[in-house]
Amino acid sequence: MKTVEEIKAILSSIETNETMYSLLDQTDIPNVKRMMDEAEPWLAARAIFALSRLGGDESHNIILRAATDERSEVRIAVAASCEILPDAISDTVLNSLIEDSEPGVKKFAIKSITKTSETRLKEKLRAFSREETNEPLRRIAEEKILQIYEEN
Amino acid sequence: MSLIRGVLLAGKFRTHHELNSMSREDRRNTLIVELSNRTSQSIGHFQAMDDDKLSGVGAVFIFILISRIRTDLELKTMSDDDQRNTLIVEMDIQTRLGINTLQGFSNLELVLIGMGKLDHRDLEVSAYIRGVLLAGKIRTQHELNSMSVEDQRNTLIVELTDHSNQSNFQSFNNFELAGMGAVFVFLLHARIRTKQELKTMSADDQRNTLIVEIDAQTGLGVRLLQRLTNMDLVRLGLGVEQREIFTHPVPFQIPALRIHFKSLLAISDALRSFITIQFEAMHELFATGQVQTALGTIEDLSGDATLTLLLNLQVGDCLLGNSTNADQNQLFQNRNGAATDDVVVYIVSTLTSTTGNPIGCSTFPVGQPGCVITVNNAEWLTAHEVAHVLGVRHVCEVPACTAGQSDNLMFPNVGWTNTPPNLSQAEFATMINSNLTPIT
Repeated sequence: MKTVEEIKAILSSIETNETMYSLLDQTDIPNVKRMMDEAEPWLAARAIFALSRLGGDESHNIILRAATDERSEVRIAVAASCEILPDAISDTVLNSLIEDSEPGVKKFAIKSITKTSETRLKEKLRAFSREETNEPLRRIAEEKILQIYEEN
Repeated sequence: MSLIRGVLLAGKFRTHHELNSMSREDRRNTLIVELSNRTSQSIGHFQAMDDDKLSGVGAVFIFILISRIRTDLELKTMSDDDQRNTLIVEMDIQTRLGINTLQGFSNLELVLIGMGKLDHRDLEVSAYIRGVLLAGKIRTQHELNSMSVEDQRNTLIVELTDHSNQSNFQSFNNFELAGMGAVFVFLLHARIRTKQELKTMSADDQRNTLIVEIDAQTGLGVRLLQRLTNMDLVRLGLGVEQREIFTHPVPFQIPALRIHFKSLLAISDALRSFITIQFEAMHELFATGQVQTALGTIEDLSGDATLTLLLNLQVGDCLLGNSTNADQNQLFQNRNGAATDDVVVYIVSTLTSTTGNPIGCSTFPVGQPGCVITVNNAEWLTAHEVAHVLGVRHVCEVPACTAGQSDNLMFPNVGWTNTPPNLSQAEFATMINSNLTPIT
């Protein structure tokens, strides 16, 4: 089990890569969670990306709670991590994050929806692609629907 | 240039610490109330002025008062125009520039002339010793008119010796003396230290005290402030905008790589400070290897609705030479004011890639050199990314890094163990050999 400082040193890369996450293991989850208390939002967001790679119930519960974190940087990390989370977890968080008040969070929530996402979420996406008033966001939703359709 | 803060300090209407906790609007309203109470004109008259005009009118009032050209009672019967005309007459006596010429100067320029700028008897850049003697109420305007430059210098030396624990002021040139004098007067009149406290301090102690205070005021950081002259520290304390102090003029005969900043976040004072710190850190470090940089434009792109979603930017792998994605291509098209070989640093809220949240990324579309950064405490982030743009690679990759490599700017993490970090001669050579770096 590494200290918080050791974990921070590992995860503080400027340009990210998968290697840094591979240096952590399940025993590090409690101290990765503590990184979420960092004053700098990017470090808290980085912890989310690490937890999504570490997996397991403890990590997933932290990620589920982080979906309502007041820092948009953290919610974006949750949304972007959904691509590698189990469907049960990603469906839950994406259902809320697709309705987030921040366009940036919505953007990454939409991008993380896949053909295996639950029907209710895909229906929300379809409605979004018709009704969203933010033009660039609506286009992203349309592209995502086309992508899901093509995958089918 | 609005110097409302400086006027409130010079007039002793508020202390430095009080001003730190006041909003810009509070400071403006305070000056309006003070001027309406102390001149013949109403609050409404001053409310109609913008900040620049208001601070100019305030500066004239304070100058006439503290240089003892007019008394409080006399000023109360005068309009701002009366005060300006009085100052013009006084400046004519001081400089012999002629009333017509002086009428062409702004209020603030007139005050600066009063402080010693453009003194017709001195063809060199002014040292502002006169201004320090006036601001410190050490001599009056009329007394100074009858003193030689040497007399003024000696007077300041005596004052500084009396108000510090130091006695070697004669060994300093006029610029250094004026700077030390300005720090002393600022600390005293902004009520940061008392006369008694100042008497126990050396000029260096006084400078360091001011650096701590200006850091609290501006958040620029002690390291950056330590690079400034005494006079520039005082100018910051008076409210002179940071961009006027930090823009590095690069001599025209030395070609420089121009760095532009374009922000998708609204440019606040805090963000401007961030840009300043980032540029200064890079400029200083690169200059040690003869890579000259110059600050180009700073553009606020936050009002462009078509770019809103790029505030949270999706990026590809941020590896040197890798291709860019649609988000990056759209962002990098924004190169207003940047020449083909200039580097544009884009500032966004977040970066997201398939491997997490980079805080900087230096991949750029062909022919549009630049990088993207986020706002954080990593002082050399821009330097790191621009070095990538110029072709420099990481010194190592975790976990294969060894002790000492974290001293290098191109360490892949933000945990630099040597600040400012190092760049090797080979890395500087790579930068100089980049097609983007102007040939010297």
